[in-house]
Amino acid sequence: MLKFFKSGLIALLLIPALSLAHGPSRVKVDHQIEINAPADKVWGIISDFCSIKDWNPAVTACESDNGNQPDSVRTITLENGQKMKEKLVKFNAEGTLYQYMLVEPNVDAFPINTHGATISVKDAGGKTIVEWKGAFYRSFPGPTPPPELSDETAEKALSAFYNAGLENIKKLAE
Amino acid sequence: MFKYILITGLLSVCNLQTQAGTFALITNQGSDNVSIIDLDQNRVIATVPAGHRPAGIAVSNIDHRAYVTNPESKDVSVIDIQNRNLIKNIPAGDGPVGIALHPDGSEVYIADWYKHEVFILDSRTLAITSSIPVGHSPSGIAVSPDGLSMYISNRDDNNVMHINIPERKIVATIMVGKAPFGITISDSGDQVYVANVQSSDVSIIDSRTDTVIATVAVGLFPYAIAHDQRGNRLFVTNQRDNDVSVVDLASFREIKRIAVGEYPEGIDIHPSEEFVYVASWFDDKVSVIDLKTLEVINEIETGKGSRAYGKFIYSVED
Repeated sequence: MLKFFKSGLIALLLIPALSLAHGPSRVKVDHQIEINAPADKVWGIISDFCSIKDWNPAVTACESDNGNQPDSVRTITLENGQKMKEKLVKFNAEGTLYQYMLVEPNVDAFPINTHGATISVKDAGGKTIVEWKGAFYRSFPGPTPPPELSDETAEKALSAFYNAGLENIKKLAE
Repeated sequence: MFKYILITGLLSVCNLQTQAGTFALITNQGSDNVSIIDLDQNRVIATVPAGHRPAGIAVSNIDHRAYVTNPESKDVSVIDIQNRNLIKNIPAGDGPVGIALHPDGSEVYIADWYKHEVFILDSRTLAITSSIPVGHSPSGIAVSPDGLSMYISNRDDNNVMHINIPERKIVATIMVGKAPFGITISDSGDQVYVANVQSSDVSIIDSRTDTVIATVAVGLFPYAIAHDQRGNRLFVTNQRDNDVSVVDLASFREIKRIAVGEYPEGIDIHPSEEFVYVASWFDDKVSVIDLKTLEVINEIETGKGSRAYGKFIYSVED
């Protein structure tokens, strides 16, 4: 086990920051929350691509190079100081949703290599459902990841990240 | 009298073994099994266990089997389609994903995502007999109808390798777009199509010269391709756009998008060339596209995380 772990670490050090091969199976993360507030109010809280620093307590800072324009890249800083770059892929104000993707993975932020996610706001008869759903591949470049780099660990970490954001959006809106 | 019983007995066995019809076999990553859909009824008629997180599939109309790659249990499941059961799981490298069959059914080719090799499985003995070193993270395999050529997409090398099957030798390496994944060959064998995930386009290769003759922009993160010979079109799943691009092969242009479920992956065409079937990983379903109207006419609920990456339609005539 220790041997696997060591070889894994060495392999990680050897690959460039933008690593190539990722896990073979994409993993799903899908969470939603019901909020007692109108949809336009909720959309107002989250619609700016960089507002994540205001509504997700796990994010301490965010800077974007082009606001809500297509291909805008935001750099987010997490509580532990680690940074990730994410690109805005789709922004649909009418559909009240946007889609983004990870463009610069950071294994110390999350042990993931690719990540695409969509956050959407839907009216539910005066209440609002916010859904945050995404999919990722683990970044570990070999077939047997150590526990801290496994699909399960990454899924738990991302789920906690999504849920912290959703719960705080609810707090801010209500 | 005895002879008569023997003959009727044999006949009923034969009937059991060759139930006619057309079926889609869908690998379900999250439920570790394969859904068998009867395409005359568009409903799941059976579910067969596979290994852990099944992904790729190749079905054989010759030995009535489905060969399924399980990258997380590192093996290949051999499924008896007619009897709807798992025959065996065969250990296969470190991360088997892409899989395809020789047209005569004698060999199964398995791409190993981590070992950068293609394994050759003898379908009669169910033993891996040899392997061919290829590029980095080979992900898709297409075999020519004459059984002489195999094309491998190497995701991390941005190229496609042409392997001469009888000689087990790489005869050409063709640069394509970024992160090539799903690969399909035309029914006539004269063109090869590969979906480039990160450049969001499809490379079209002339197999007589092994050169790229066109690159067609499609949706975000294209994954797999079905070829419609009669309509001279391609159908391409776009993972991050949740739709299918229709590419016209006369003009080499995308002519339409058809919305399907989220994260569409595997795509295959009915032998009648009337319908295309698309597995949506995020939505656990298969969408049926009518090739006359280019509209989704049905949706079939499958297992969790449907992938069906490969040739997944099995057909036996009366």
